[in-house]
Amino acid sequence: MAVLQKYRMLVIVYVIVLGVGAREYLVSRSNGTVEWLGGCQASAAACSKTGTQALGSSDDSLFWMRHAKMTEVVAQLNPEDPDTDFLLGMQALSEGDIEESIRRLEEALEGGVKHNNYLLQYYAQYELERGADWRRVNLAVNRWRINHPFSSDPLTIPLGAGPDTPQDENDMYEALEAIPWVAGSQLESFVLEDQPRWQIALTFQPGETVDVREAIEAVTLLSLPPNDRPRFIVQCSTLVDCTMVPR
Amino acid sequence: MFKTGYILSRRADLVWFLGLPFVAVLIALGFQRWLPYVAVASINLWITIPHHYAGWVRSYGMPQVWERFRERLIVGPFLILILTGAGLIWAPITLLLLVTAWDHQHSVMQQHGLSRVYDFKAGAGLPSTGRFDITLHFVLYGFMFVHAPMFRFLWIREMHRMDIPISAGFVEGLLAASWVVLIVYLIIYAWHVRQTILNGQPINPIKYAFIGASYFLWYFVAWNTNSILLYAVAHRIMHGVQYIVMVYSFMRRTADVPASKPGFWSRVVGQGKLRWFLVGGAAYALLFQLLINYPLDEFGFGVVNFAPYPAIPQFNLPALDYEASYGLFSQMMVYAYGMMHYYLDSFIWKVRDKQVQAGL
Repeated sequence: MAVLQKYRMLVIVYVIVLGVGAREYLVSRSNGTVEWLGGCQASAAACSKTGTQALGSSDDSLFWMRHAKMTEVVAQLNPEDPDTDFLLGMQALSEGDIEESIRRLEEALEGGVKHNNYLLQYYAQYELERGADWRRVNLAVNRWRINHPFSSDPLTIPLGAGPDTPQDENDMYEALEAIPWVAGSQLESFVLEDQPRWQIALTFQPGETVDVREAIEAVTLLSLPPNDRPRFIVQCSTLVDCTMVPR
Repeated sequence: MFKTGYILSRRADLVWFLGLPFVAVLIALGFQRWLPYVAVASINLWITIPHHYAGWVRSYGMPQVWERFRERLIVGPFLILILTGAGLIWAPITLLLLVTAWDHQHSVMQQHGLSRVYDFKAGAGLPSTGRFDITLHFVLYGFMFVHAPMFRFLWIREMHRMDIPISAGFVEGLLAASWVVLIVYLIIYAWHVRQTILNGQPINPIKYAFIGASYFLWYFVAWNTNSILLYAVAHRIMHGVQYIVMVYSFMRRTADVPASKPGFWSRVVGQGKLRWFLVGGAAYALLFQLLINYPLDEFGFGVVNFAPYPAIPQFNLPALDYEASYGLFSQMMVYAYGMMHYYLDSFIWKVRDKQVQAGL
């Protein structure tokens, strides 16, 4: 008893953890409803892997279906909370309602929210993918990176066409590595509606201001014939208006 | 009826215990307005981690504490590490909830402990006042935890994740119940204060000013924000700074006790040594950050960034990410330690040196 008395704080902690932990362990192995946020539920980049066109993939929809009740309760009790808007936005996204999703995210952002990494990341990704004005895209990306400079989540840029040769791939990587704010880049391919698609995932150097046009210039390099690349570079005044200029 | 007593002194208490919560709220509002979210990590490094260091010095650096609690100071870390390891493997959400809940309990207990010091210093209250006070703290804090939108969001989310799907009706019932608990307990507490006075015991008004200031901070940041940033900054400043001040003051007063035993603590306490105590806290935070391999930039409030290693296209060198930068830092340490060895040996081993000759 003296030992129990001496270690009573740890005894209480162990009893709580054993009780609650056993429940978590059993529930997670029976129906899998106790889970960390993962994939598209946690990371906008994971959503963007298939772009906005693959909204409501089965895993993500399942997650939001399971947690629809939570969103409903939170929305009823905390209607003004930006995190509620974020949850409602992600819920709408899983149901395929992109407009409602973005409206919710924008409502959350209006409050000047800084803490929600996923919200800021997802919105930046959305602005890029919908082809918003480059200033809006840069604003959204920098807002995310300034508040969460050490987030290792990537921003993905869809490519019109993938590299044809290893030389193409090398040239693109080299051009990306020369951008001060790019810490790393990874070419990814996937199939959507029976068509092969390509995208580049970019990670960031902390403390550097992002101009997404520089990344567009680097990936657009692939549109130049290989022989022209040593002599020319691509310059983009917007995210779509790019021209070839001598180096 | 009233008898004032202070923890440190009238002026010091005004700064550290009564004024600090208000200053912390102002600082947090400034952070919210002007600084990015990463500043929360900076506050953690500059205040929270050093306050752990202060706790280490107080518990492991004072021989009298070590001798008294030796077994617990040895066994405790093992039990906690086992708990943490097991939690990470089998029940990670439970572990997260435990850390969060214990953090809240610890925060309440610190403010309660300081309130008790106020009564102790003034010789105020009845023997039962401690129990009434701790209940008051938990009722006030619990009310905030249940009601404040920021906290409400967290516990509703965690309940659902734990497969306990509470409804809005249940939560509303809980909110109504917490109002009843609060009002009833405030009446009971008022009755206790009356009993104290009727028994001829004094009341220390400074204690209530301190409790009021602490709860002003917590209630203000829990209700008047749509971001956890404000709470994280203000709370950590109040909790961490008050703890550091309390530990230092305790050690400084212990140093004046003739029977006190010297130890690590006595090397960082006393005239002109405060700076070393603080430097120790900052160095501890630096080592901690390096150990867990988190970026040192987190010290910079999102304003100061240590230069990353940019690409040098002319040499065909790519930019280094943080993993690679840490590898470079490690290599730099290997080189620096090697060079220190070369440098030391360049002057401590001169055979022509008379002092060296004496040792040969």
